[in-house]
Amino acid sequence: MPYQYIHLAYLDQMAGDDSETRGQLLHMLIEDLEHNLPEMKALLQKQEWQALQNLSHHLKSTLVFAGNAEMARANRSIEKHLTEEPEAFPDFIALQIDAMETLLPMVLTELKREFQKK
Amino acid sequence: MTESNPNLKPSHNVLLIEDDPAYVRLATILLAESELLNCRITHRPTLTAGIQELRQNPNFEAVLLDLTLPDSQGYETLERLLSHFPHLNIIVLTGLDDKDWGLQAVKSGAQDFLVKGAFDGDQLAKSLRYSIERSNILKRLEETQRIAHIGNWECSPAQHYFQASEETYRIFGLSPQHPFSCEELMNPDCPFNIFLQLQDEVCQQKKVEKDIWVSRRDGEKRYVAIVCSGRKLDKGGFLFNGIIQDITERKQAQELKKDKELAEQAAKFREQFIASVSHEMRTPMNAILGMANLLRQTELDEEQKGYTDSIRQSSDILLGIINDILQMSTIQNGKLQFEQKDFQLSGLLQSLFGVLKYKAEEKKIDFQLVIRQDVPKFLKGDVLRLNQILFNLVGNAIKFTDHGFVRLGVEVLEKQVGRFHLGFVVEDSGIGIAKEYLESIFESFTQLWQKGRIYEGTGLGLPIAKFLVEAQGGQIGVRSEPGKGSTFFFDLWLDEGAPNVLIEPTTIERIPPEASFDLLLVEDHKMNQLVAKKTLEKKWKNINVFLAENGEEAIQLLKKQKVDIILMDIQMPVRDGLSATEYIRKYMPPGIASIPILAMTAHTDKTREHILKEYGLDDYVLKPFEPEQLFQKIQRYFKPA
Repeated sequence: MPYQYIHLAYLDQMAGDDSETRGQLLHMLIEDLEHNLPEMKALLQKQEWQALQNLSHHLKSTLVFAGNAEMARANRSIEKHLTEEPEAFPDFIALQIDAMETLLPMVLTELKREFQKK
Repeated sequence: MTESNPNLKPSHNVLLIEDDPAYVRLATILLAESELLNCRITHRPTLTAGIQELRQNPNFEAVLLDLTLPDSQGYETLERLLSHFPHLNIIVLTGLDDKDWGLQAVKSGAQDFLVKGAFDGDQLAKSLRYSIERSNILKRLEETQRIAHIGNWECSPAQHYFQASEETYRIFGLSPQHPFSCEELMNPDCPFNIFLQLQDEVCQQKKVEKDIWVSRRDGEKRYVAIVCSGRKLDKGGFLFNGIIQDITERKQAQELKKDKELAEQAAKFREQFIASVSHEMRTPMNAILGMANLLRQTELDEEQKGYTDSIRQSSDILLGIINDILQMSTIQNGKLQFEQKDFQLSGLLQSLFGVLKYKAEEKKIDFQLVIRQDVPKFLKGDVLRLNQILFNLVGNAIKFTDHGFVRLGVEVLEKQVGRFHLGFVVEDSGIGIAKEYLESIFESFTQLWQKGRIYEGTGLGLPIAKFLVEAQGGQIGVRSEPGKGSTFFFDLWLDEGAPNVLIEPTTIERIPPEASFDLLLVEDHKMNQLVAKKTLEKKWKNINVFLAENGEEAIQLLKKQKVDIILMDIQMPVRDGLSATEYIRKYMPPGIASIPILAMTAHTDKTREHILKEYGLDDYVLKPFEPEQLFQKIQRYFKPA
């Protein structure tokens, strides 16, 4: 069985049997990820730590819907480091963002496939 | 002994080793006339007598040494004296024909030399005075080096010259009394051979700085910092000089600190890992539970109902395990805090009894609750923890009892003004515990195995109960006999509480499905907004959900629109949930200020809960939220009009 980059159990539970809500959620999820992950990198380059922490906090909720454990873990690490020791680990944060960026195309492909199913 | 010039202070002790009485007389007169030095002169005519005097009286600050004595002649006189007293401050007296001896003597460690008949009083006094000052400076330097564990050395292989301070020898566990010559350094077995190796590098790099381990002669390893530099000499070859510092203790302290940091980091990673795992597990668990609940509401035949119930039961067990692991992690990290709240004991016990009696009934076990009459109704303490301890003990009793009874009893062991010492007993007629397991029953991950059957659970229930009892000052224990049953007992001191506190049942449907009410959802995340709104609208058809994107919008909206309950995200742009709640509670009219506000947060620890309460939030719902939990919390805090 091929590796699945997304797990939509939570999204599906929340959408219930409402396919319109499901589609709406998928659309929002794709837009959110497409826009906000590149934004993360930009904020890191500008060293805008507070804005980066806010964005990471926002993505925490988003990533629950996508269900990719590795991206969620990387994002949690970013948020935790920025909350506890801002500015202390820029290389570590960059590494986590890279991990998320690497996974993003596969996650988006699968999400778009799901979205088109409706 | 002769005092040279008593008007000058301070006075110095000088030993004159000289066999010629005329020179003894001359030196005494010259020094007495000089205003540069005040000294007490002691005279000895032979080297042997001089050595003896120095042994008896080590306080001489300078020695005037004639090289031609009855018992020793020439340069050897100095060598013999230095071999007994290597640090002695010696000024050599030579004849006019023996100048070369004098020069050689200075090279070998004498402070100065004077040619007999060629010096006056001031010259003699000056030479003595300077040598005493130099000697004192050297002593202070040696002392400083000893305290700081810093040694220094100089070496010029071309000149066959090597000299090292005493501390350099001590760092290597060697005696400074036996100094190495330059030639001895060439031997690879010589501990100081390391200096020669560094000199090779210095020729290429001008200056070398290294922190290295070196071996002492007794085999002990010491960590040293070495700095070595060199310069070319006019007469050819190099002069190298360096310092060496023993930093073993500092290195060990650094290693310890590093080890401590690594251990702390490992603990942090473990905590993070457990938190991550529990998060990862909660999401699919919620999905499994949610799906099973939805499935149970559809039309199913008996077989399908059975399958669904099995999924729900297994999910419940798994959720219990996750919670146990999380709590154990919280305990191990020392983050658990206890609350002091008024509660009604009988209400707590009845509620617990109500929850667990169904499990007992399923197994046809007689479940009894025995509360002695003198047990007070109202107490103060951490009701949730007490409930958890009892739930663990009674739950275990039911789990390990296949027939017979389970009895929960409470009695007053002792009473003092304003507080009660209560004894709790959970007795069963279950499988019992073998003697060899009794001692480890409260240790983590101990599970009971009986007749080829291992009972489900993490083995963390009893350790958690033990911790919760002991952390509140009580003691927990067990008596048991295999095949006959077990009795778990613990005691706690609890303060007398305020009356009229009720434990509210959380399961009462206070908001009927057709109820019409207004809810304000303060949430900046669009997807969370959507799912919360949809979930609420599905539960209550006539609910009006108002949306605010942040705390400021919520405040503005509340000025125009009255709502019955508020769901408040915590971290939001513009104005966060804590600040908005604080504002609502402090500055808005009473009708608005008293609206129940539930936080929606992803943080689960107790310290966070405390902060939420401080800002005026009534309770919290965990994100990602589980619909049933959200509904229950809303039901609990909703105030019917």
